[in-house]
Amino acid sequence: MDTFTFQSYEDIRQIEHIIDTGTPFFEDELQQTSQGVILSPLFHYIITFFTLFLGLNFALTLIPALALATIPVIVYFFAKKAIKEDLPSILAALLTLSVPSYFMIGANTVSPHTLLIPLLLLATYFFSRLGEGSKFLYLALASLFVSTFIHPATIVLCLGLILYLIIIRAQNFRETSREPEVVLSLFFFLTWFNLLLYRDALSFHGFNLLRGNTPSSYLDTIYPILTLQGLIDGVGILPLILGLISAYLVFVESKRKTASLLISLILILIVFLQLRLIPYVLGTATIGFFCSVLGVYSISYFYKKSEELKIKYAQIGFIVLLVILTAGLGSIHVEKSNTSSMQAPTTADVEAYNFLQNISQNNSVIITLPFEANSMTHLSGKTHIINTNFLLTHNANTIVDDTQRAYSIRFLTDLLQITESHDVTHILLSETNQLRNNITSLAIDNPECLPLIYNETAKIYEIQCSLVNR
Amino acid sequence: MTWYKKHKYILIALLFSFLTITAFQLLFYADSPNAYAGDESYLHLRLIDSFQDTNSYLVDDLQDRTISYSLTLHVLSLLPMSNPIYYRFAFLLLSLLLVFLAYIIFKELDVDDKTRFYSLLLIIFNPIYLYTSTSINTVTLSMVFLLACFYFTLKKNSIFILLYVLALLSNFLLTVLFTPFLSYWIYNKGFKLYQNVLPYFFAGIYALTPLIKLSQLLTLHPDTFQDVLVYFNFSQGYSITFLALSIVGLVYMWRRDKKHALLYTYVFFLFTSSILYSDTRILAILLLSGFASKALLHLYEAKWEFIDLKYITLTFIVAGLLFSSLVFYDNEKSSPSPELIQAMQELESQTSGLILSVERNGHVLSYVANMPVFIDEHSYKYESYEDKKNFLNDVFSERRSNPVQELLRDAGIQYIVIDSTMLEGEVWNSEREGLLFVIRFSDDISVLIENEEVTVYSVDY
Repeated sequence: MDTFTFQSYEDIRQIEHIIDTGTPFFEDELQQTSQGVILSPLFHYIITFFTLFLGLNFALTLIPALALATIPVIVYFFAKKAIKEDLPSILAALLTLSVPSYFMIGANTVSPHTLLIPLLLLATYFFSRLGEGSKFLYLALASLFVSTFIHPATIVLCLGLILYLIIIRAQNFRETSREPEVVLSLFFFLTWFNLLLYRDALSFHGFNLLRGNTPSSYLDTIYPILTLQGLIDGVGILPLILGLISAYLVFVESKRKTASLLISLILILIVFLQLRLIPYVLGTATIGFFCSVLGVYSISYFYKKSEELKIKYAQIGFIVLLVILTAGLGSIHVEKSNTSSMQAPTTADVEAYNFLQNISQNNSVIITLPFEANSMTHLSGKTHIINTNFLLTHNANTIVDDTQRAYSIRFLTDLLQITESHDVTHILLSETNQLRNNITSLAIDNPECLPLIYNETAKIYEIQCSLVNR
Repeated sequence: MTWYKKHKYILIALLFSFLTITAFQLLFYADSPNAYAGDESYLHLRLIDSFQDTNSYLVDDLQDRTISYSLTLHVLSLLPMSNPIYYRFAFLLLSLLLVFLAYIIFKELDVDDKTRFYSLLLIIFNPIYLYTSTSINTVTLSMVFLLACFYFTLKKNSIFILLYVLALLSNFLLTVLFTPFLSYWIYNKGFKLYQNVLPYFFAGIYALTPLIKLSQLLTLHPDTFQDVLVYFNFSQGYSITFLALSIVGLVYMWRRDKKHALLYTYVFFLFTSSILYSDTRILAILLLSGFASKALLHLYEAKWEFIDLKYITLTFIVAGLLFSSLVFYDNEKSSPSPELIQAMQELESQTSGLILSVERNGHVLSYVANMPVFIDEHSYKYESYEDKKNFLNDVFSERRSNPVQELLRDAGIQYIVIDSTMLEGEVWNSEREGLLFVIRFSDDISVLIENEEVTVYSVDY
């Protein structure tokens, strides 16, 4: 079986559970510290449906990739709606390939984000065409409601639409009455549905729910502080520049309703990124795609300007330059994401998981770092302490600190305090962990209490002492 | 038109709310007559008992600390209630009176029938109103006085001053925040200047007396923003649907009629204060309900291009409002557990001593067991709060017996109460963490009382 990214295994476990039992699991029996799992399973059911025809592995690989592949197509139609010209729209669709976050979501990822982003784009596209007939009203409502069932990030879209309504009123655009109606319906539906779904998590975590109860050690990874460099690294220099130029053109030269919609959404996403309320990859990818659509105005502008230049082949030159830049940047991002060896379990890691699978000890609990917990559990069937879904986990900060300290702690007593408080039986030091943290073994060398039972590139230690015995 | 026909909406609303609230009260309190809504109720019940014994209204004897004067608690301590459960009905009746007063005030302000009716419904199903009607608090009586004061102001009757003073004695903060609004109407109704100055004068004088501990009243809870919404397990929290409707209503009214800019400013100011001080939320929802009902009416009566979408939206709005009421009852039902009450009733027969447990259990433990607690939900108002929090962290996470003994001895802890929520992640995630590990192997800490949910340990020195 191909390996997927570490984050994918959480969803893969749910999909396999649905295949086996018909429902997802809401209690993770293979996680030591969880009080339950909160899930909106529509994405998982969609993948499960395709496994009936394609088989599990193929469905897991193909469907998310196909969903992501629709993004340039949606961007093309969206851009064509905005500018009503073919060639700039095609170039705008091409621009999506220079969005770095597109590749960070990447191949071999099984995640609701892969379906959410195309749906958000589609919903925005249909929303922009609300005045053209009731067909688009139904399509907009359908895509908005479906995306609500996939991921709560649809709230960001709703707030963006509210901002859009304020902006068009301020700019005295003629608004259709459908727009406020759709936004109101969406807002109240979103509110009710997400409050219902996250009821337990809200009473557990309060406002920490907005960041998924992410511990401080993971906060900078998933919700980093937004800087200009970070924005460029995520959105892409080309979409960002073309988007900015378009925003200038739209506000200064000729006001466009569709552009106002895109700008509202981009602004809201930036605010959410700045407040660290939306994951970096999801936020910047969505901004990148909206910027690609918005960029069509500047592409069209420069294309027309190049016509006026008295240089032969200026227009073709412009197109070629844009394509080279896009393709060049795109290939750099592909190369970066391919050479990053730390997004998915390595072969050595998988071999270690297989070894764990053969441990006959009942109730084995394995310490791993949170990012690799689900992959370990999925491939070995053993219990982990904590994974990267921190909802309904009390003291997530402390538990994550414990799992991280276990590898660097120097005193056996302190290590045994950690392992005993979580009933740990083994410690896994995977190759990925070694590469990320620049270590080759545990800091403690005590073959009596921590014998090395698996010593390949990855290492597995068994706990054979307890504090009481000592 | 006969009176009951003229006021049929208000009568229906009152009857409906009375039946709803009493039915819920009887249903979910039926098997635990000692369980009250809101942990604050236990504190107030204990203070009422204490006032009856000591006649000292400024001291919390059991916890050895000073408190601000409250007319509500003073009056309750004078009433001959043989069973504390009767206090609950007293607050229920007071809250119904609150709704009636709100109705006649809306009528006095020429608010139309439909808006009045929907406002009352939005108030009755609001978690904050449900809290004031089901808990023993210092807000309800104050609000009754304030609304009566406002009503008589509108009627140009000078008795409003007396009612203002009574409201001030019942809840200082709430009354002070209401004063600018009242002052505006006093001015509008043509009262003399000195009558406008009097509320400020009384508030100022009262603030300088030893009856009020301003520093305590103004101290913000460390989790201030965590209690804004009812979904965060806080019964006096707002509902998002209600807030959204209020905003829509405010925008709608602002666009139609900009001359009440002062009113909108005051509403904004009041709402901001209510985020910081939960006592003022009942006043905020009474004001906001008018705007929310306007929004609801406008959404219902407006011509939508897609009529089905209108009804779908209204359904989600109603679902959202009802959901917040259900969340309120869910919050109340889960705390405190009958097992905790039962364990504390058993503990009451033991020698009095200092009890250590988490903050949220503080008021229940001190009331039922009639013993002082190390920390409760009002400890944040006093200076030693940070030290107590640090102490709790140290004791709960320490695995070595000697330091634990020393900490407990220095603080004078006699009993330790541990419930299932503490074991399921609130404090510990497993049975061998921190203090639990020490208790397992210590001879000095032994089980005194044990049931399914709660264990009480006794500490021997």
